[in-house]
Amino acid sequence: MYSRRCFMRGAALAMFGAGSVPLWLGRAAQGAAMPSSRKKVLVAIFQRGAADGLNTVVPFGDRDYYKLRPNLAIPAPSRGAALDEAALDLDGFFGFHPSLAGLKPLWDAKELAIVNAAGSPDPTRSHFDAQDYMESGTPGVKSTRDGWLNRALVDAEGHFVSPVRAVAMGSALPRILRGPEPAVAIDRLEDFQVRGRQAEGVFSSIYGDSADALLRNTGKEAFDAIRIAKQVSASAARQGMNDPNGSYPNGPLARSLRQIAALIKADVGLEVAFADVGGWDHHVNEVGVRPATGQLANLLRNFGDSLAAFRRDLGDRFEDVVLVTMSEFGRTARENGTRGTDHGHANLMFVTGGPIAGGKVYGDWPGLGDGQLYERRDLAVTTDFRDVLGELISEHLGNRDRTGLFPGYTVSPARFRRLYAVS
Amino acid sequence: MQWKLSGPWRACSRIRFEVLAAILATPLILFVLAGEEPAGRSEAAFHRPLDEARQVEHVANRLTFGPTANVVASLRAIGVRKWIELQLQPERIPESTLLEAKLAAYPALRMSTAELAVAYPNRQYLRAVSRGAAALPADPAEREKVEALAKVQAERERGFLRQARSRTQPASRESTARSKKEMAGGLNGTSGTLQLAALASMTPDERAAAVRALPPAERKALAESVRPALTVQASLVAGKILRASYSERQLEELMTDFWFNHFNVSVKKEADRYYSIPYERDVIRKHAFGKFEDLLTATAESPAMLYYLDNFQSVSPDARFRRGMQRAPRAPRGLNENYARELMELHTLGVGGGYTQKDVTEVARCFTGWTIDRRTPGGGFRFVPQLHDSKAKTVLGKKIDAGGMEDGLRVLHLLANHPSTAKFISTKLAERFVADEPPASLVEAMSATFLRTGGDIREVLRTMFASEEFLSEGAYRAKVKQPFEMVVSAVRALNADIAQPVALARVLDRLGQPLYRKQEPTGYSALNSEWVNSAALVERMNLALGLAANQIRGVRWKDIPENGQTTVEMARSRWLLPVSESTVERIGKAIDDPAQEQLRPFRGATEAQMWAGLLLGSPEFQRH
Repeated sequence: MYSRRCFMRGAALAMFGAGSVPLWLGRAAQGAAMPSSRKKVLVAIFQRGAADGLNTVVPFGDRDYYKLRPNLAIPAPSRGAALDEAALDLDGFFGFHPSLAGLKPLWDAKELAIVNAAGSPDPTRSHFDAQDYMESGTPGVKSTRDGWLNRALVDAEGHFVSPVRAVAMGSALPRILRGPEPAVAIDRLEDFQVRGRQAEGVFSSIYGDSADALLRNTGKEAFDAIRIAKQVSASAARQGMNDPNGSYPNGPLARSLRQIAALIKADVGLEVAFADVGGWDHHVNEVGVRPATGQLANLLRNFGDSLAAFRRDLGDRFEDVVLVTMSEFGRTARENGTRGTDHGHANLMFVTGGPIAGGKVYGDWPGLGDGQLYERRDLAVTTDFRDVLGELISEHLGNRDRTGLFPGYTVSPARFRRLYAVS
Repeated sequence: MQWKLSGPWRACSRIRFEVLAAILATPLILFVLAGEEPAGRSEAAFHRPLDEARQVEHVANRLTFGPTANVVASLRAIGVRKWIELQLQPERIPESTLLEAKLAAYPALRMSTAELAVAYPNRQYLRAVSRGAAALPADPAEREKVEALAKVQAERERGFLRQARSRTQPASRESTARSKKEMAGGLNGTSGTLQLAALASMTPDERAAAVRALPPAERKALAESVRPALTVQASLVAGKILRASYSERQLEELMTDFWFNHFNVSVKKEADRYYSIPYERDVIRKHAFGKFEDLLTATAESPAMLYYLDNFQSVSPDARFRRGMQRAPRAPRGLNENYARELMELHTLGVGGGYTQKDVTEVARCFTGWTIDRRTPGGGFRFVPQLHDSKAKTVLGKKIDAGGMEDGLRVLHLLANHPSTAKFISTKLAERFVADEPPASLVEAMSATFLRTGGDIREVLRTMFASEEFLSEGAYRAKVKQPFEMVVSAVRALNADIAQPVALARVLDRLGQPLYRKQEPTGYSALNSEWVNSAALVERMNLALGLAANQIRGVRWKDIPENGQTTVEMARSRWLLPVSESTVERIGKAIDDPAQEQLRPFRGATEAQMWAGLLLGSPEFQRH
């Protein structure tokens, strides 16, 4: 179905987008229909594999935590453990895993919030199904065709949209970003081009003159997007040379965030971005010799340092940005027999950004006692992940569609956690 | 390259041109603004017949994964009608010996799920064997192999544990001495199982050195035994790419692809890696031209579907209170409606096909107890009466009270022969083979055949292919190739040899159509709008250039034009590609320009390769 929306986009580009510089950047030519290219941006990060939330933000004030995890528990800040071995106190009850020290400045600056015991109400413990539900935003319903991050975009019908309005970092468009609004997957900005400048020129000219309207219009969008990617990666490279302190750590998440930051800073019309990071499924040897070392500690260090670098990189553009993290479910409250944890239920979400009322742990703590655990083994869900996302999409992106955002679930401001300080 | 106008003048003339184009397209815009979906093609176009040459071109493109010299020759020799009739009876077409030789390298493709489970035992199964929670194969040799692998697996995991607990302590003297001794003996000549055992006790460096020392064939076998699940998945993917590229039974491959996609399962859900090989072979391909009800029932009973849509764990809400069934924390919780919902929404009636949420629940109750036999590795379908909800149900107004497995079978019969199903399946076939918005007259004719013949798929296809609408201007080049179709048609156009299908699978990941990994039960859309987006288009251009320049490892073609033809002549005569004059002119100009020499996409690319790459990446080649 060649949708009306798609056609309008094509027609708009055909009439105005043919110059060598993407015209939505030159505001003079755009008139009232053109929204500003300095956009509010929502960034979603997916920790695939079900991260252990209980060892990420440690409930050191809950005695049951230490009973359930004799080998895995991170010592409380007051227990005299070495500084890099104990939890970093946040509010007297919760503390960061010591590897998240890089995020502490964001917390202290009240730019980072935590929503604890958040997750999906669906009971599945299958990675596949739970990721699917969290990306479609429809727990329990498999046949939803699009993802919530695509639905989060305000219908651009009749307006000009940037070809990099919705970007997923990676080689394939993930479930979360599929849908009617155009979205692109970009693995590396500097590689987003046709191989060989001559070939690019030939393709550009044969597509531009093709009698095939659908392919001609999409071709134009493609070459516009290539130009943008080139501009953005060139300016990012220049900046990298000017700012050689290399504040980003290594690793795929940092690479993705660095590119997302470059797109944001270039004002090319980015509105939603997505990146994922795997490796969180720690059934065996989640911790090393001591609880604060090992696989999870290393992953968390990279995770926290990547987010902190992203924030530093954005500078004052952080005002326009909200970043939210999620993982398909949490892990068992009790450690297993192989120094790991198994598939659980509730997890936590980090929310950071200029407009976020941070420095606070949101959500009700259900407790880890016998009668408090979900199915007598997992942290219970007290905040539906859709209420967190619904608030951010509604307040930050300005999409107030209450029923279409999560089909079968009405977004209700009464359930918002009031993370968003600016309204 | 275009006008030699400078700066604003050039932009201005371009804009004026586009405005003119937009004005010329005004009726379409008004149509759009009136709130209607723009029809892809007008109704009348589906009643304007194609001349004979275009009929050949149309059929060669639409009913295959891309024209080859063979396809074109036989279409011209026996005519369009006879060629289609032959393709509808694949058993009458001798299969390509080249294909059979290539498929011989993938023994997994010929195994049952039980055989796969033993030949490529996965970690979960080996762990279960160690715990005594899974049955061992009956065959003594296989039993021995699985036991050995389970032991290696267990040792490996214990080893990792030990390593983690004592990272700071030096390795004990005995263990160092032991692995040194094994190193000295080398791995050559030992059986696969012994190799694994030896490797498991080495340090990573020693392991790498030992593996490097193996002959290539043994190294491959070893890699397969270490990552068995991936080997199974790679075989599945290779089979699909090779069949589409080389099979003489092209329509059967297209229909296998169509039905797998219609009854989608995904290897992203782990066990479906193992289930998908028998599923595609014994469920989908076997019934691709058969009765729809047989196909539907085969999917309903397949472990692939039972697992993918969770029906294997759907049990009567009352079942847990029965004697001897304690409710363990991870035991099935009761009714799961996933299969019931998708069965009606996606497999049969379609959205708006006339069912309610109440029907979904009732159908789910009918299928309780339809599960997977987990008593042996790779077990198949099993009906467990104790898990079945035996009370009466009402589905689509009909009472279902047969009890037992018969409940589910009655539901399948009811759905398979429902008028909504006839229409839904006919529409989907016509969207795939005719146009995104097929004329209602065609869908009605196909639905009528469906109902008259009790859902005979071959007859429904005959109705479609024999219709005026199929061989019409409305259908001609109305479809944009899906990525899989684009990649395979390029391989076929170049008559390329695929030594490593995995390279093309990676390309398809980037093009947005990873094989067997469509997560949603909807399968991939066949509609043009799904596949035309800017990022994917860039990847198509790069694939075209890379393939033509032999830059994709494991796929090669010989760029020697046949019969002294130029590449353009070849594209027109053998690819049956209606390349526009302006495309030819622009490519020719660019290639002839000596100043551009150093800017070729790949160093050393020949002129024929450049032509081929630019033609395969052209807008013309993206349609069929």
